[in-house]
Amino acid sequence: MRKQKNVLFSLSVVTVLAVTAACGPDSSGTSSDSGEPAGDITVTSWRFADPSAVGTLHLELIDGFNESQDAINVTTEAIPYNDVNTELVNSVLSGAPADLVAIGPSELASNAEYLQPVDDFWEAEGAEFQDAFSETARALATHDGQLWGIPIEMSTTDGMWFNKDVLADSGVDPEQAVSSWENFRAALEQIKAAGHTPMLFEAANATRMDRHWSWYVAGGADLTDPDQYVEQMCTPESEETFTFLTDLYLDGLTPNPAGIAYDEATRQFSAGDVGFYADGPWAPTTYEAYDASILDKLGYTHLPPKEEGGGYGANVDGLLWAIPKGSANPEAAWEVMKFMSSVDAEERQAANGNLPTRTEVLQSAVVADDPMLAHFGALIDEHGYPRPRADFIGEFKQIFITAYQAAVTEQQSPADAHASACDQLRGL
Amino acid sequence: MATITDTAVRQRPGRRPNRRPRSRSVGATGRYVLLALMLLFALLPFAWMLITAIKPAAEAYTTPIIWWPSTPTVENFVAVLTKTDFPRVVLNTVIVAVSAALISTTVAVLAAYGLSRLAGKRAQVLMISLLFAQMIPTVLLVIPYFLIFRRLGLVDTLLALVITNVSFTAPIATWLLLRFIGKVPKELDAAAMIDGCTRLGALRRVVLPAARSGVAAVFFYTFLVAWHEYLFALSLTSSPQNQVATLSIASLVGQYSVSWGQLMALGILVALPLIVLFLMVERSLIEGLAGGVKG
Amino acid sequence: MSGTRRMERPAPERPATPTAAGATGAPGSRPRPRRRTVSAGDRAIFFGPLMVVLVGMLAFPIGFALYASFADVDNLFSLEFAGAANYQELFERPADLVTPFLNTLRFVGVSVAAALVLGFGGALLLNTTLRGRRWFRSALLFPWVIPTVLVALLWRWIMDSNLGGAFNGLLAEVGIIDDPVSWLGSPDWAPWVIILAQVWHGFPFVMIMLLAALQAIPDELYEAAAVDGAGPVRQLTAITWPGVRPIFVLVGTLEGLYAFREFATIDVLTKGGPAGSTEVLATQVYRLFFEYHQFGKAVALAALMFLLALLATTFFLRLSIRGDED
Repeated sequence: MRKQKNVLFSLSVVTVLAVTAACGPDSSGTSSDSGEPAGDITVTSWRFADPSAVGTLHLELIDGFNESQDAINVTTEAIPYNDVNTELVNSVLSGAPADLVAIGPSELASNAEYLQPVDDFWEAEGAEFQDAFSETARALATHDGQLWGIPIEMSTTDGMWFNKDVLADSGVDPEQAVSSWENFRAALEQIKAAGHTPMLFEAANATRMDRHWSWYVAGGADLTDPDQYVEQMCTPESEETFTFLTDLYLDGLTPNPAGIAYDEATRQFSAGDVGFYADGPWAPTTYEAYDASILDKLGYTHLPPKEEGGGYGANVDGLLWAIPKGSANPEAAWEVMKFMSSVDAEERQAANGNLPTRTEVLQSAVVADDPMLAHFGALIDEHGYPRPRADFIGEFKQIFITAYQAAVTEQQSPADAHASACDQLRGL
Repeated sequence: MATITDTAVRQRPGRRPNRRPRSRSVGATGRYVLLALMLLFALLPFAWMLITAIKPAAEAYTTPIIWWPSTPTVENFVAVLTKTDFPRVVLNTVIVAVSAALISTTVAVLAAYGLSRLAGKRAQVLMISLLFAQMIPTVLLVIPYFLIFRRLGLVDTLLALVITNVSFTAPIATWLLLRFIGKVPKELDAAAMIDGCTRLGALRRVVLPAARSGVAAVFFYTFLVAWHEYLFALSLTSSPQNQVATLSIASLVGQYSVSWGQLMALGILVALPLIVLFLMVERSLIEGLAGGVKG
Repeated sequence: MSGTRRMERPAPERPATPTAAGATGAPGSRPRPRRRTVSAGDRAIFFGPLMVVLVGMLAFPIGFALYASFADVDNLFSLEFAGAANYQELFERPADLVTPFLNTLRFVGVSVAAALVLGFGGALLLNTTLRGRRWFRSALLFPWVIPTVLVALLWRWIMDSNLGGAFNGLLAEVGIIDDPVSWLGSPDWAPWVIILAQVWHGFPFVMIMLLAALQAIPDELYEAAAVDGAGPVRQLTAITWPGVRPIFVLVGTLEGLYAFREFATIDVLTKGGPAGSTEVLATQVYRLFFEYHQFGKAVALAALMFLLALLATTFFLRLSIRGDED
């Protein structure tokens, strides 16, 4: 026993020593006042942990950066996707943030307090650098009249994917199906009659609201001005959209959306018995990981307009590198950002189904020769609007999705659910 | 024949003292059935975890469900081991959990001894305050800790995790240990002190050995709590070399997809050492708890 | 009572140190020395470390959090005093607090009750002469050792809303359902699924503690009761229950506190949905803080949670202390 205790004691001493030895300095980032940026910086992104190809690509890019020069040493930190906010808020409030973070442009407005604008860096790079990025892309990085980073991907979640086999088996023509809401519903009913799952729709949590916006746009809402979001989402037309969507479930045309989050939706779609599913251009890369045989059956089109010939929307978001407030070394962070948005990097990203932000790459063969990317590029060009963003957007989405859940679980009628959501929204 | 310690000693392999007359009302078969049902409840999720982990990707999610993989595979385990820095993650977690448990248990032994031998009127207050840590939502403690650790230069160190875990586990460990150490007859250490031991000496040489299974139980309990901790690990560490197991699990849940096969494989890899360790200490754990709770 | 009995047989403690054995031979041989001579040094040694933990690692952060609830934290966590503004803001829409509060009560109440019932039942079953009960005991404790994050993810995977999910698949296989049930998407089911996950993870600890308590009840009591003609039910109420009651209250209180602040299970399984049916106070604090950045409301609500827990704990501990005195 005593021997055991001695062992334990020495173990504890060793442990304490080992732990203390592991304590680094508070922040190793040093920003040189003159000359080239240098030092150690930390980059956090949920992408680094992503099991699909996009995650590994970003890690490769950072490795490439570290090899390309000696002055700046980048350490990557993978954070769980669900905890991006927690990590950012915590670290900034406590004064020890990372130097560079990956963020969705639509999250800029709600997180601007924790980030620093980078207009000066853009300015210093000169006109040629600035003009290399598309207008849409730069708009994505803009909030409150300032630029907050370099966008490196553009995409929309509002492409309509379909399973060719399921549609063929149900006698549904995809283009006819997406010509209007009425035809779409009819197609779903046909798929259902053939014994398949007609479509998937998600409303499991607040972030899923981003998959709903464009239906409201098709229904007549104009979601370009944050000050008008509440009003636009509460019009009689929007109530109609709300009812149309909730009825899809109530009429058995989609599995209970209140229980479906993204990973479950993609998994179900990949399993091969689902007709339609709206998703982004990265879809094949993602679905492949679940079931590679889905690739042969995949087809894509657009969301249905409300009336034949009518308009429909495609919310545009992407990925932006941004610098947290209080970063020890923003200069070095900017260098990394530039590297991650280089022509070469963008070409490689495009190969993973993310539209580039540089006009040059956007117009290059990488995109143009890929019909799927070209299709999504056209969706953004012709129907794109920035994904809704505002400092209150988190709560906004939560309220709306809760109403949606209340309606599909028959706790309230669609009209009542929509009305009570709007009451709450007006109180924001 | 009341003490569990005695029972356990007599109960060496093979021998089962026939001495529990109650529950005769429920027949042995009935009891087996009930236990089997509980066992199903406890173990079926583990079975599903294992089956998912050894399924090839194409069979992981199908309708109708495939209950057993056509060709069991280790590909998920390989993927997890190559993708995550598993040895380091486990080492980090072990360092944090063992250090936190050691410190907590030490603090608890001292304080529990003090409370049972020396405390006056204020003991009650002290004891209630031991439960405080269990009451406030963890979220709210993260910011103060972050501020303190930043000042101390401890952000993104394993030491920060050790400290926060101690803050949670030391009070509860004291609470649990109080029962164990309180049960050690005061005459034991009194005698030791007569023989020339200091109080600390008496604690170390007499009381501690007498309560050792209780100490082991508390050690394991605090170890487990530290191993499970997530929010502090997320908030207070950042670099990959300081990643602990719970964080590693959560980061497999990506933005675009969750590889459930890999997730479950990692889950098994993380749970396995805990289960093995648990089986190793189980006897003294239960002995210890019983020693502490007996009237 | 068993303290004295233990004195008769210090044997189990034996291999420890020779001094231990020697010392036990000695008691009473000399008049007891000290008493009332608790030196400052001893105090420092025995209470010092705990005080460091209590004051430095708990009182300070908790005090900080409580103070923050009265500060202008909405302003990038500024610590300027702001009176009760945060509380006022929190209570502007009291209706928002009612559902999470009731959900919390249900979650804590049901999961603790279920864990106690299951744990007590398991302990009673294991405290018999069944063959292989050690194996049963080990296996039943497995759920306890795996991390909460993993528990929640595992249950989400099992409760998948499609027929490809294990639970739906199983029910379909045995013919109970034809169409899959969206367990986590239904306000009728989701609260029970999170309770299920919580109980699955929590009951083994209750069981092991209660088993320990049962084993500590002297057999003589049962033998005497049997001689007196007491039946099994009477034995349960007259001997078993009083014997385990203090521990019962203790583990119940602990489990309750853990359930009360449980966040990971709920966040991973349902994120508080559907339609707010699983939103509890802990997830609401988290949402207010990290998703809406309404720090003031978040810290005020957290402070109220603390108060609530304090009151409840005091109440249950009173119960426990009274039980000890019985």
